[in-house]
Amino acid sequence: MLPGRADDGASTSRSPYTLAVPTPSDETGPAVVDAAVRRRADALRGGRAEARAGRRRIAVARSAVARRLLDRPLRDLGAGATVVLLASTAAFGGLRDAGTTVDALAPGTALVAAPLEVTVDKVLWVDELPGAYPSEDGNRWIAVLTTFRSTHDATLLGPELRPTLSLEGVPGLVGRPDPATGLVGSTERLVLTDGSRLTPVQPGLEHDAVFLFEQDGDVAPPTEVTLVAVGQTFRSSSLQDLDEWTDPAVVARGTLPVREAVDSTEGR
Amino acid sequence: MTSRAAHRVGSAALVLAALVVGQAVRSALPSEDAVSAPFERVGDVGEPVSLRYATVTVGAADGSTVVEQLGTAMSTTGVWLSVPVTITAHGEPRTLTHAEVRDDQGRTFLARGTRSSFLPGTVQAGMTRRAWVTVELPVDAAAGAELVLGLRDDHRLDDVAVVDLGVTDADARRWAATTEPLTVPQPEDVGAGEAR
Repeated sequence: MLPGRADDGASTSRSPYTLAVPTPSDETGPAVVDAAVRRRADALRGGRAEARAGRRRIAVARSAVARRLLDRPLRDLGAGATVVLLASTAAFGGLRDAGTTVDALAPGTALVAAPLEVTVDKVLWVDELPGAYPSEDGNRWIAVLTTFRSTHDATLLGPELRPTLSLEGVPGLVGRPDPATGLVGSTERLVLTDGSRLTPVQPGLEHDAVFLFEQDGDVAPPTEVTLVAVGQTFRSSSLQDLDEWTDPAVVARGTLPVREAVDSTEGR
Repeated sequence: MTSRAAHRVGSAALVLAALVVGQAVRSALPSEDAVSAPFERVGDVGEPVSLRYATVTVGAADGSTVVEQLGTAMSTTGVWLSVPVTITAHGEPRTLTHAEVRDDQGRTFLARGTRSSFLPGTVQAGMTRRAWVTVELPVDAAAGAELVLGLRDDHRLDDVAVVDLGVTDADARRWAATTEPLTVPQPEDVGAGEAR
């Protein structure tokens, strides 16, 4: 029986569709409904209480785990995580090898500074050189005479050669130091036999070539230089979809005497 | 070990296993290079090779240890190859920039720079131009070498012409002993080709 309608079915002043709020004073349906509602509410309250208790138990459990973990020294957690991480790299090829030792660089001794095999002959300085044009009048060239061959199976266009022979600690060099090594790479490379720019460098060809370093003419020419051979690795770029020579690393170092070239065609 | 802990360990193991399997599958499938490889149109010396953007005809190679280009002479410890190429552009002006020699050892020799070059310039649509590919090679790379011509260095999924230059060991030895300068002409238009 709907609340708001008299038991005898006669219409009342209230709309038959009005739902009256049951009150304890009602003697029939509303009282039954009220009791049912109270039982339902009690059940809900009990359920909510149980849920809250459950959540408290979970929170306690989690905090216990956290407390257990945090009670341990952090280095243990770090060590454990590191072991798991390193072990997982085995499935993906492992880690790359670390760098190699630095050899002594001496004239006449062949060395590998990838992508080149190079033998240094001597170091000269010269004010003018055909085919080489300094950035400012009055600057000079420090010239490292070499014999070299590319070990790569494709053409090298020039930028890969710049760091192969580098100078360390020479004042007045015009070239910018390599951010990775702090060394100054060669400004230009010329073929000794015909003075042409050595670009490109093709696989398997041996060249008598000079690596040129531009030096400020206001600085005194050096009497000796520290020459460094830098090797690179051919691998896929981390950022672009191409293979390139990168990851410069020092492979040899030596201090060589420097003298003035007798004339611009000074060679072997 | 409680069931919940076992569940977590099992989940972690399944994730790691999925990563390993994924890497194995990726390694087994065709590489991205194979999928995006260029379309090689093979031809012979003197035979027109039709590409998407041009028709090219490769002529007979010549060689020496000295080359003269733009009034400058250069010498080599290997050999210079000079190869004439005729280009007829299709549809719009074309500037072919890629020329390389491939030897039978898998090495590639790009014609780019001072000592190896290919500078045909822009060929107008329907026009034919002749240019020369000049490449410095070690002597052992000349015999069996192929010339590859393309529109640009990145010729993935595009046409390239591949022509066996027909160079023999005898040719290579003869050129390696030649000191007579090989003069490389400048590119020149040779007339109108077939419209496409």
